[in-house]
Amino acid sequence: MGDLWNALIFDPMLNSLIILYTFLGNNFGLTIIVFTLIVNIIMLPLRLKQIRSTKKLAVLGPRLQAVSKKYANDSQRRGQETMRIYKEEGISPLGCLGPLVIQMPVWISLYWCIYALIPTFPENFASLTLHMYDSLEFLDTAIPLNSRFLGLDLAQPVALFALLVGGSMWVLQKMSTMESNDPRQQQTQKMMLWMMPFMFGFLCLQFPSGLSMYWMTSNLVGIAVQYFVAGWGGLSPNTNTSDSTKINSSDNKNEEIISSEEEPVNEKQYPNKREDSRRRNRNSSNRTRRKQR
Amino acid sequence: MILFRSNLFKSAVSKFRPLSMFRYNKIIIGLIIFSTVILSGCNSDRFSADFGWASPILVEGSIISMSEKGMIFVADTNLLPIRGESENQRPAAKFSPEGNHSNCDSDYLDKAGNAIYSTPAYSANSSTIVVGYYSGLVVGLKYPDLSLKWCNFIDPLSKGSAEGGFFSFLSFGSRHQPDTLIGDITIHDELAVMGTSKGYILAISVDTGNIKWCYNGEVTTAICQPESILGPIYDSPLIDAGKVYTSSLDGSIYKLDLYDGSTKIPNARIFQTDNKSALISQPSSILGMFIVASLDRNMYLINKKDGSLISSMFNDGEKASGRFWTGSLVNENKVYIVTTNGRLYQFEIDNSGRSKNVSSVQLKNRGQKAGEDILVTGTPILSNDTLIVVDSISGNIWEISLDSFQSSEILELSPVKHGSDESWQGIPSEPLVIDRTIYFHSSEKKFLCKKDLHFDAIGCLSVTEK
Repeated sequence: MGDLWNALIFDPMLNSLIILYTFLGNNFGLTIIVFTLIVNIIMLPLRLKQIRSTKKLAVLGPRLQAVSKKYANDSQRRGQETMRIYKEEGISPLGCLGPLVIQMPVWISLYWCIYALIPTFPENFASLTLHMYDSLEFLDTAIPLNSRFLGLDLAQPVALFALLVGGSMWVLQKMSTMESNDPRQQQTQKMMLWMMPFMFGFLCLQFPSGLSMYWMTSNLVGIAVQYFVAGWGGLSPNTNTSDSTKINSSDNKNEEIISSEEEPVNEKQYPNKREDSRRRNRNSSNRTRRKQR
Repeated sequence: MILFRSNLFKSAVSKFRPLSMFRYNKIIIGLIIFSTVILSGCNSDRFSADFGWASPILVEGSIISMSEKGMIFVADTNLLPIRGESENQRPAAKFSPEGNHSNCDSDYLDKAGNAIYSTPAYSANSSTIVVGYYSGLVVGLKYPDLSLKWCNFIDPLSKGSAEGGFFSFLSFGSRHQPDTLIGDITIHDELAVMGTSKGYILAISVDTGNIKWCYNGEVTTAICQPESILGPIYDSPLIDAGKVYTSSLDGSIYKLDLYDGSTKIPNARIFQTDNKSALISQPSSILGMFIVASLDRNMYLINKKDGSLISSMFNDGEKASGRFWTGSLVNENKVYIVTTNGRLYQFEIDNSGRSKNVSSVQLKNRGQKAGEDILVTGTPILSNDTLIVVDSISGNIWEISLDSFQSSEILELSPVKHGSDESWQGIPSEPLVIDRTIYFHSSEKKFLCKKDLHFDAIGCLSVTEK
C-alpha cells in the first residue's frame, strides 16, 4: 500500500515540485503557488460541476422539501424520489465531494513533500534520495530546497497564514452557501461557515506554512471561480436563491407556482413565511378544484 | 484533540442535520476530521524524535553508547555478551539529560530535545566526552563516571524558545527555530569544533564549555549571532594543520583557523561545487589534496591550499550511478566510497590528482529484504582488510574483501540479519568495529553487537531499569 501511494502520488508530486522549483529560480514559495494553480486547473471541471450542482440543488430545494414532507414516513420512497429528481436534473449528489476527495491525498502528500524537501530532520532528507527519479539528474543540484519566502520560513507554522487561510475560507464558504428556508439548515450553514475556517486556521498553526500557502492559494482560486460562475453569492447583501421556483408535485400532477415576491425579503427574520405562503397557495388550489367539481 | 473533545464541537455535531442543497456535509466533515487526525499524527511524529543516528565510540577500552531520550552509557567491552544470553550486561555508568544537575541550569536540560545525531568526541587530556544533542544542547561529561562537567547551548536563543510554550505559535512571522546539531563533533587541542544546521561553525572549550569562537560569515566570540551566510552543516569538520575544513549543504568548503576562527579568504569559502550541489560529508585528505563527494553524483579532487579544482569524478566528467551522502574512506592512496543506492566504488589517485583503476560493485539486499531499496548513509569502515558497509533501512551488513575489487566482479557478500526475522532494523550510522566484533545502534534505538558476521546480533546492554 505504501509503495503504491509513493509510486502514484508522493513520488510524482515530489519530483514535480523539484522540477518547478528548478524552473522558478529556486523559489519554494513561488513553486507552491504555481503547483496549487496547476492542481486547481486540473480540478477546474470538477469544481465547476460542483458549483453548478450546488446551484441546481438550491433551485430544487422546494421540490426536495415537498418530497420529504410527502414521504415523511417512508424513507425508502423518499430516497427513490429524491434520486429520481437528481437524475431528471442531471445532478450527481456526490459531485460536490469531488474536489475535496481529490485534494485530501494532495494535502497529505504535500505535507510529506515539504518535510522531505526541507531538511528539518536528516533522515527525511536522506530518504528523499529514494523518491527522486534517477533519470532526472538535474534534480540532484536542487536539493535541499531553500524554504525562505518573503522573509518567512515555509517549513515552520506562521500565524499570519492561519488568519489568511481562515479568512479566505470564510469568504469562499459564504459565497458558495445558498440561503435556505429551513431554520435547522440555516443553523447548520451558520455552523459550517465558522467551523470550517476555524478548523483550517487551527491546522495552519500546527503545520508548515508551505501547506498553509497551498490552502490559501487554493481558496483564492476558488473565490475567483465562484465569482465568475455564480457571482458573489452569499456575500451579496441582496441575495435571493431564486426568483421563482416551480415545485412539481407528483401526487396531484398540479404545478404549483411559488413566487418569491410573496415572501418577505428577510427570510431569516421570518423563517416560516414561506411555509405559510405555500399553505395559502395549496388551500387556494384546493378551493379552485372543489369549485371545478 | 482538545477541539474534538470540546462541548462546542460536540453540540455542533449533535445539532448537525443534512442539508437539502448540500446533503453530504457529514461526509465532508468526516473527511476533514480524518485528514486532520492523519496530519496531526504525522505532525506529532515529526517533532518527537528522541533518537538520532550517532555512532558508538571507543573510549579507553569502553564503548560509549547512546540510547533513546538522550541517555549516554558506558559499556565495558570485556564484559559485553557477544553470543548467547543478551542484555544482561548493565552499563558501568550512565547519564540522563533529564533531572537535576547542580552545575547546569536544569531548565536547559529538562526542555532540551533528546535525539543525538552528532557522534560524540573524547578528549584524553581532560578525560571529557563532549556530546551534542539535536536541540543544540552540548554537554561535557567526565569519563568514566559520566558526571556532568558543563553544559551550553550552541544557539543562545534556544533557551527562550524552549520556554515559549503553545502561544509562541501566535507570532505573525516565523517564530524563531533554535539551531540544531546534526554533524559530528571533532576535538583538537582541547577545542570541540562542530558545524550546525543553521550554518554556524563554532569551537567550544572542552574544559569549560565556553564558546571560543563562532563563525557565521564573521567571527564572534562567546556567542553566535543570528543568521549565518553558510548553508546547513551535516558532518564533522576536518582539522588539518591548524585549519578547520567544513563541508556544507550549500556546496561549499569553508576554511577557518582552528584557534580563533579567522580566515584570509572572503567568506572563508575555498571551494564550491558545480550548481552548488550539496556536500553532506566532510572532505578526506589524500596526497596533499582533498577529495569530497556531492549529492549530484560527482566527486571532486581539490587543492588543499587554495581549494582549486584538480579533477572531478573519473577525470572525464563521468558521474557515479548514484548520489553521494557518505564520506570517502582513504587507504594507501585508494579511495572507497558508496552511493546512497549501494554502488561501492574503489579507485586510486595518482600524484597528479587523476583517478585510475576504477572498479565498483553493486550491493544488494538479501534475505527478507531482497529486492528492496538500499539507502547507505554511513561511510565504509575498514577492518582487517575487509570493508564493512551497512544499510540504513534494511539493516543489511555487507563485508567486502579488498582483494575482490581487483577482478571488478560482483563480490560474495555477506548480508546478515540481526535479531529474528520479525525485528529487522535499519542501521542509520556507521558501526564501531573492534577485532571483527561490530557494535551499532539500530533504528529502533537498540545498542546491538555481533561477534561475527555469521552470528545474529544481540542486545549488548540492559539499559532499562528493573
